Formats: sequence, C-alpha cells, structure tokens
Amino acid sequence: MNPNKPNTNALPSGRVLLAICLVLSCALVFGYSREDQQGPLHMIQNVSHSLAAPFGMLGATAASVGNSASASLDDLNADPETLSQLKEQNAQLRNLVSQTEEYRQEVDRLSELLKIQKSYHIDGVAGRVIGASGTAWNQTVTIDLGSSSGIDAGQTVMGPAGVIGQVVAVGPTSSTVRLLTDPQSGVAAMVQSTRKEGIVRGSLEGLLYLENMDVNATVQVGDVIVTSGMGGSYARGLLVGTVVKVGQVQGEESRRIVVSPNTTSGPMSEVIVVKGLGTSTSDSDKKKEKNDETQDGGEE
Amino acid sequence: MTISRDTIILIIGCVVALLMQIIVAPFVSFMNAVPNFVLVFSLAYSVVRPDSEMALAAFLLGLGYNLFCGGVVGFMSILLILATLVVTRSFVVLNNASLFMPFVLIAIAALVVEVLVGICAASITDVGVFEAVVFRSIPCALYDSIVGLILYPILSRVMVQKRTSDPLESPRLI
Repeated sequence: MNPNKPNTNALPSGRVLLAICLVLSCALVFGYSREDQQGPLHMIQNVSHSLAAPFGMLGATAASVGNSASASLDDLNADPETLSQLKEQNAQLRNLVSQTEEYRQEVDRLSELLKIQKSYHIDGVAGRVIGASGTAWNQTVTIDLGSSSGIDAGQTVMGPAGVIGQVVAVGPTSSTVRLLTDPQSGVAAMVQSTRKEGIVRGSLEGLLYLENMDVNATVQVGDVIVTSGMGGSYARGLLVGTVVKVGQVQGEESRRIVVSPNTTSGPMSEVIVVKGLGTSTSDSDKKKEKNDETQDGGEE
Repeated sequence: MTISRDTIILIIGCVVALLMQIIVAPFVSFMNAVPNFVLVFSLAYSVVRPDSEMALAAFLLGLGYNLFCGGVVGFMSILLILATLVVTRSFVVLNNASLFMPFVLIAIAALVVEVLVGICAASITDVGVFEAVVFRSIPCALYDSIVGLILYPILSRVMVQKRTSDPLESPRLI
C-alpha cells in the first residue's frame, strides 16, 4: 500500500467518486442553464455573492489605498507644464459651469412659466463599490446596497459623471452591477446633438461601440452620447460617454463608432442607484392636453 | 479517523486559493487578464501529488468558484475534474524528475481550460470565439502559467518535507 496515499476509507473509491462528482457537476450545469434568474441555483449564487462581498471589500480597500498612493506619486512627479495646462483647463471648465448654471436657471424659469415639470430629477440611493468580478469574463462590480435598501434588478447605476452599468443581481445587503464595458451589456442610446439613436455595447477589448445607427446618421468625434430610454432598461437622458473614433465613411453599412465612457468605477468609489426620474410632461403632450381642454370647453 | 498531512495541506490550499480568487484576483488583473488561482492550485497539486484523489477537491473548488465569482454553476467543476485527471495521468507517464515537465503540463492544461471557458462564454454572448480566445483565453492562460511557475515550487517544497522522511522514496526535486 502506498504510504503517501491519503486515507480515503470514509469515501467511495476513486473512480466511483470521480463519476459521482462528474455527474453532479453535469446536473448542476443542466439545472442552472434551464432555470430562470429566480431559480434555486441562481438564488444560491446571489446569496453566495453577498456572503463573499465582505471579503471582496478587503481587496477593494487595499486596491483603493494603492490607487491613491499611485495618484499621489504621479501628482508629485507632475511637471510644471502639465500643471499649467491643468490650471488653464480648470479655469475654462469653471467658466463653462457658470454659463451652464445660467442656462439651467433660465430653463427653470421658463419651465415654471409653461408649467412643465422637471424631467431630470434623479431619485436614487448612494452607495460604494466594494468588490469586482473574480473572473475575466464578467465586467461586473459589487456595491454595498441590496434589497434591504430597496434595490431591484434592472436599475441604472451611475458614477460621479455618468452611467456605469445596471443592477443584474440583488442580495440582501449587496448587489452585482454589470458594467457598460461588459460584452453582454447593451444600452439604448442616442447622439445628444442629432438625437439619432443606436445601441452602445461593451466588448472584450473593454471598449464601447455605438451600433445599429442609421447608416446616414452624422456622428463626429466629440459627440456626446446619452441614454435614450428606449426599451425601458435605462432611464432617459443620462450621460454615457463621448465618441472618440469613427471608422469607415458615412453611408457605408459597416461603421465602427468607439465611445469613451465618461466615468469608470474604481474600488470604493461612490455610485448612485437610480430608482427613478421625476415625472415629465413634454411640450407636445402639454399642448395636446390644452387642445383637449379647449375643445371640451367649446363643446359645452 | 485521522486526517493525513496531505489532506490538511489540500484543504488549506483550497481555502486559500478560493479566498485569493475572491479578494486578490479582481485587483491584480493585467490587460483584462484575470488569474485563476483555483485552477492553478488544482493543477499544481495534481502534479505534486499525482497519486492523490483530487476529484472531490476539484468539484468543491469549481463549485466555490462559480458560486462566489460567477459563471455557470457546475461548469468549472467539470473542467477542474477533467483537467486534474488528465494532468495526473500525463505526469505519471511523462515525468522525467525535472521541473520542465510539470510547468509544461500546467501551462497546457491552463490553456485548454481557459479556451474551453472562452468557447462557453462566446456561445452565450454575441462575442466571437476567435475574439474570446485571443483577447481573454490566451492572456489568462499566460497569467495562470506565470502563477503556476511561482506556486509549483512552493507547493513542492511544502509537500517534499513528508517525502524526505520516507527512506523508500527519493525526493522529486533535484
């Protein structure tokens, strides 16, 4: 008898154990593939993710500290020319913010005059990224909000400067968010300036591609991409990113439009889960209502 | 029932590999390649102990990987069970008492497993198989091989302590 062989008297023999394990694994794969998101295996997986979240937070915290240290080192080594450019850019952005604030106040006054309700009031819950996917095939992060905070699957998740993804699985105290860059992710979007619609999809390379656009639609580098709200999966009007590259020529069928996301999610970064937007009444709906009221008054 | 030292090391190794997959792996990715510590540990242990029964450990490790890190539940278990079985049998035949063959076996097994995972991922998404293999499977397999390059000597050193106490067996490492 081989003295190195572990004592397996309490277990079935090797081949039997191997067969049992293989059959069990195949059964699990079959069961998981056949059931829906509310099935028992999916629920067990969600609960396991929640249990693993505190451990993932350890890694996120360490990574966050490392990133901060790296950023501090970069700042220390920044050359004076870079600092001057950043200061100039900062001044331009402050000027732009000031102008935008003027426009916003004007819109508020006009909305009040026309009795149009604001359509961009975000109702959400703030949280933090406490973990990331442990596999190379899912671009997901874990946040410290779950069903106890009123989170549901399908809700949009935003970072400091735009959409980062969508909630796909919810546990009691944590949730899994599929990022825009995940190959399985798809966002109904539109070019803000031309209102032409398409779909922003993630990819294995980590880039975002704007697809399903009208072949004659004008898209230029620098165009801002926002969510269109079509299909109801993402709230409307939320910032996605900016076009950074347009391959091929307008009018040709295949065009590769690369979009740079406006924000990314780092470890321990803050996020907002959008529960809803304020109700909006568009101009056309308001005019229709006024016309209806006028007709009703005339008939009487 | 007494638990052998090998079994204790196996259990501890499995737990550590799973914890590292949850805590460390997401934040040590390089160019979208994420290491699979669970896979590397399974392969390395199979090579160090080709006479051990890895089926149950591989099943549980794969299950833990899918439950805590995502993916189709049970799929990684199948891959780990088959990979450890093939690596074990191959090592018994090809062993030449050097470090080269274990590394080659670990690297090839890691590549095959990652390619199979890539094909599975491509089949359930819109991603092409070629893209999945080139942009994910191969980089991940390379990363796994490097981790295996580090882990195998450590595991051999930990396990060889028992071997040197056995006068009937010669040490595996030169």
